[in-house]
Amino acid sequence: MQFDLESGPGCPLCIARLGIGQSVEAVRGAMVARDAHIGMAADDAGGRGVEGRLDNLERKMLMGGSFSRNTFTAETAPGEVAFAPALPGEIMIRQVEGRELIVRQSAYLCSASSVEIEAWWGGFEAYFGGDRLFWLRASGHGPLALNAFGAVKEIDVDGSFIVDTGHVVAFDPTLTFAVRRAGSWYSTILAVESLVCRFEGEGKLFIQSRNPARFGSELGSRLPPRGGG
Amino acid sequence: MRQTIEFAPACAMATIDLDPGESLTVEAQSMVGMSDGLAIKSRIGGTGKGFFGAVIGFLAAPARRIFGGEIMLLDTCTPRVGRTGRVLIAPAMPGDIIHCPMDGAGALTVRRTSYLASAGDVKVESRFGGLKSFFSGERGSWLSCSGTGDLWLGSHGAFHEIRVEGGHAVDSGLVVAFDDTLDCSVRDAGGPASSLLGGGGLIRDFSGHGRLFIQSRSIDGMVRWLTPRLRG
Repeated sequence: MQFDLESGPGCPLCIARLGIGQSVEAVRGAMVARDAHIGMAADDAGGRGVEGRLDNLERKMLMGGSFSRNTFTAETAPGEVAFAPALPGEIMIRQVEGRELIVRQSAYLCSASSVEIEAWWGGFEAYFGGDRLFWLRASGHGPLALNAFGAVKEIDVDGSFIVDTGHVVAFDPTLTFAVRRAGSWYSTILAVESLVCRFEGEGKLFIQSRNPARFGSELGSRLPPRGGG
Repeated sequence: MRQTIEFAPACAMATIDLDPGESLTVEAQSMVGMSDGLAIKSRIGGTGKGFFGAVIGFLAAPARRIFGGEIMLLDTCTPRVGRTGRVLIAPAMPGDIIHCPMDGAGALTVRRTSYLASAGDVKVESRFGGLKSFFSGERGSWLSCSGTGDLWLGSHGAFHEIRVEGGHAVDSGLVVAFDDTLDCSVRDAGGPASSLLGGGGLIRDFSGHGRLFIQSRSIDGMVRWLTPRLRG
């Protein structure tokens, strides 16, 4: 199976080219178009993938209950499926050839079914941070596509590096991290504090050049109050 | 100091490398990441340094929330003695970053939300945007940046520099920064009634000689487009 990017300026599509019998899994809502003969199954129905393996409580705790995937299979003939993320930005494709990657849940777009996607426990800090930091661990073999808000920058961490949680996309499992508050008592009192991840060790860290939470608050604070909830 | 701007113009991000003894002041929310071990001192933008600056800034904060829009928190990052450091910055909206070297010749008036960071002896002070701008509900206040050093500004969309020779009129939401050699006045885009009816927005008339930096998109324009499309 192959993933190709059809690049517009800043808003690419990810095209999965499937051979007979191959399947690709993608986060719900990401599919743009597919060949008519390619079948689609929701994860919860098939019991495949992440949801099949986790019971509800676990899912809620590790994934905030919001992560579900669909599976697309080319049963009778080769075919193509196109996927797109919601936000404008780069799509990063990585071949998971035995090298595991820890992925922020909201950055996951799609992966070959030969890539194992599991919930990854980032520690209590990650869960109680309030910024909905949920993680996935990608292992196995095959292509994996991640979406970013803005561009992706690869950082070689050797020692330690600090990144705002809103900018983290993925990192090598050779890195460890801890979440902590950024800024001083000032920021706490004025309620403008943010959370940062402090990464330690040696490995690659992928960050995105825009912060979805910040974009949301910048725009959201200007929108009129919405009635009816 | 070395700086590089990557991923321009759609989603620019700047990487600034600090040599020993240098420091960088960053608008707190524009900080993407940094090397470990930087000492960080926070203060409220537009106030003095030191203890009294902090007290005044703190007391003035509620007033500023009312009169000047939002509060800006500035973090000054300094590597430990003899060490280097790295800071990554980016604006909130999709768009570009420009690096403006400041030569001390004159001040630059900057939209608060466009300010990303400054280094060297650049002074960042609050500037009242004018009663008209305040009463029309235009969000965001203005800063006056002066001195010598470096200044980084972010745009929503692309940057466009205009050399004003005489006069120029611009949608107020698109103004990023302008030389203080320019005179600026604000008026309603659609006549006296439109601001009361919540309509048109503001036009800024510039006169004199100097640089005017504008951005190709405004948040207000996006909000106007988005609002009727949101379903309750």
